[in-house]
Amino acid sequence: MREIKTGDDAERERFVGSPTIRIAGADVSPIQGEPVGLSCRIYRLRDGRISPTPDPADIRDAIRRSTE
Amino acid sequence: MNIGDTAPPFDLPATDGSTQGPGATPTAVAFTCNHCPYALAWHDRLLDVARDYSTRGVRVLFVNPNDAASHPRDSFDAMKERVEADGGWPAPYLRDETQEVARDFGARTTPDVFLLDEDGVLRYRGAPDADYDDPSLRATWLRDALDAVLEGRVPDRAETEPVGCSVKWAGG
Repeated sequence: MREIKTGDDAERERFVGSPTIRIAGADVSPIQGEPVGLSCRIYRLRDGRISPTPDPADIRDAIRRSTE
Repeated sequence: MNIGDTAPPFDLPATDGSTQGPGATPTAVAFTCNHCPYALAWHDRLLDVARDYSTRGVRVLFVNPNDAASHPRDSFDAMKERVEADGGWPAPYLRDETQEVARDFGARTTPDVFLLDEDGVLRYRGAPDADYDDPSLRATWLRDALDAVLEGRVPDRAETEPVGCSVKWAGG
């Protein structure tokens, strides 16, 4: 768990919002064009709903990819 | 602000160019924003409340208090673009640029809903319903409180814990 406290932290980590979950350095739900900064992150679940957290299936897939 | 307190009056600019605030009818003041997933998840439910209760004299005011310097997606221009992209909303979207209204109300999150009766007295404060992730709940806590206020009753559930992203205070 890594806390991003400042704008500089966000820039350095290419942090696009909280929470961001990376497995082996790869975002579990990568998004293009998202600005770096201290913000809340919007996820889209696989059924289309908006959520503050990633779809569990995306996390499972990311774990699977990281072990292949 | 506590249940039973009289809300401080305000007038804020809306995306449609008007200036609006609570009047002499029951008013739900919903602090919200453009970028918070909780606010977005509850947004359609709150729009439905605005539609469903407008014929009963209820007003819903959406107020964005977030600091746009640190969160440009909450700028007044971004608010206008959002409403325009949606083809208009059934309730005004107001900009609290100084964050004074949010401070006066004690808003903590987006969303954070404050229901005022026709005298401006706070009758409900908190989340729209029990679960941002369940649209079938239809903002029932707010609707129950509105029904009570419209019937001249005190809401059975006057206060719930607001759930969402923290209000983004300037310099915070």
